[in-house]
Amino acid sequence: MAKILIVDDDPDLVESIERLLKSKKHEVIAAYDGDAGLEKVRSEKPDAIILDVMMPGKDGYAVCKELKSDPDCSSIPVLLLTAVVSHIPTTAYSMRDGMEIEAEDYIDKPVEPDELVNRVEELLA
Amino acid sequence: MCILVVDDEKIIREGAECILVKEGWQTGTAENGREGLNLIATGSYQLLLLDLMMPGISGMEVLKNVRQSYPDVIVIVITGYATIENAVEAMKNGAYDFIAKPFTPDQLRIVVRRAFEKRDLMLETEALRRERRQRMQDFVNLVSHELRSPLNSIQQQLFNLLKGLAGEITSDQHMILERVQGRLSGLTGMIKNLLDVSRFETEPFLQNKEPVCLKEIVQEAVEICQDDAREKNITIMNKVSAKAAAVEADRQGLVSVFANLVSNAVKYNRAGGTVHVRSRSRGAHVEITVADNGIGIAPDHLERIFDRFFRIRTDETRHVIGSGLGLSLVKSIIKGHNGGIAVESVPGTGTDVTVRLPKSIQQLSLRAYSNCH
Repeated sequence: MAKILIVDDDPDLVESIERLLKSKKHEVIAAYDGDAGLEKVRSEKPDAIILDVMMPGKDGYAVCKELKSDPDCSSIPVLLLTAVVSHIPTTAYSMRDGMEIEAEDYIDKPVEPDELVNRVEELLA
Repeated sequence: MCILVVDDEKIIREGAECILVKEGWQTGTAENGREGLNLIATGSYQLLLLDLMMPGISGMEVLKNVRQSYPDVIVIVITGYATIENAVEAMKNGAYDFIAKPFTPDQLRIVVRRAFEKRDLMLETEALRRERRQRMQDFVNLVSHELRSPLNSIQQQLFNLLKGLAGEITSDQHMILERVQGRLSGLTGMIKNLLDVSRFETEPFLQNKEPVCLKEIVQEAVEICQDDAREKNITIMNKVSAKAAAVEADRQGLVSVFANLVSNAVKYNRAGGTVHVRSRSRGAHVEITVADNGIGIAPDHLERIFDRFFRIRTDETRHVIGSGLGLSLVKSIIKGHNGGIAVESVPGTGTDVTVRLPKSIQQLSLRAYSNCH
């Protein structure tokens, strides 16, 4: 069992991922924008972060960059949630962007439940 | 406004300059083509008055060079002897107008003034075109976020229902939800295609051209379609040679091309069918053929399959979810790569779609090559 923070501006999406992770007995906390997310990371010290890229205000890339440059948080693994604009082949691009900003992993929305659970387990391992 | 007069005859240069300066235009002069091109290269001239008959580089050469390298500069040619042939050839090569020697001050003023009007219109058109692109882009961004976000959210919740995370569901309910899910992913795919179509139409695209390895591109495309193929027990074989020549391409665009083609070959196929992708070298081109042994396309439908939103509706295709945008997207991407596409099909037997792309001029770059292995 681990403590996982979800940061996404869409409350329905947060709720559905929360439900999924709770079914795997994880403790889940949520934040609905970038700044609140950063605050939660610092106050709650989660074991992993699921971070939406496209958010109004401070987006996921900016949040991730800030986390990775903060020695207190840089070791917490980050899974980026991407919903890239273009057609199918965007995985390579989202990966490139994701890796550039040092996130541990990325996954395209909508997220297939088993896939998400696997990725989270890998992050925690 | 700044006008450059290029003529080897001093009297013409000075005469023209005198007339133009009186009208309040700024001028410069050059006595041969080489000097003229050097002055044009400084970027300070918007209009060029160009003598066709000069020693050294001919006026026609200067004209071609300017049209190619400085498309914003308007060229008016001065024909020494008033032969219509010279003027016609110059116009064919992109001159805006011509004036015959000897000319009166009035003739020169009129021609120049009209050329400047044309230039203003040209700039205005370009500005409008840019604005249109920007609006289209804004719309695309709006669609991408405002439409796709809720769709993603709906799909995410549906996953949970199907997974039984909100309590057990009956097999009937499961079936219905799966249908909903199918339609939703069809919708998501359609939005993606729509966005891509506008992307390739509005962006001065292909800015990300790089040498790519075709085998690898096709492999990426095949993997995207693998789930659908497995469901219908269809075998996809990537037989593209690892040694196939590299092409200069927008990587993302090209994967999109083959993902669409392979996806069609799977969707319009029967259970247990096969899809073969193979490559062939043809002079300066590489050909990639996506061949299936599926239901085929009737001859009278063939010419319309690249039309936007065109879909073939028969008993065999009714259950296939699609947007009718895939092939129109494929075509515009291929066109952007100076390539071609051809379709051969026998109803009931199968379809071959062949994409032809120019080989990269450079040798296969190390990067594309190492990605391949």
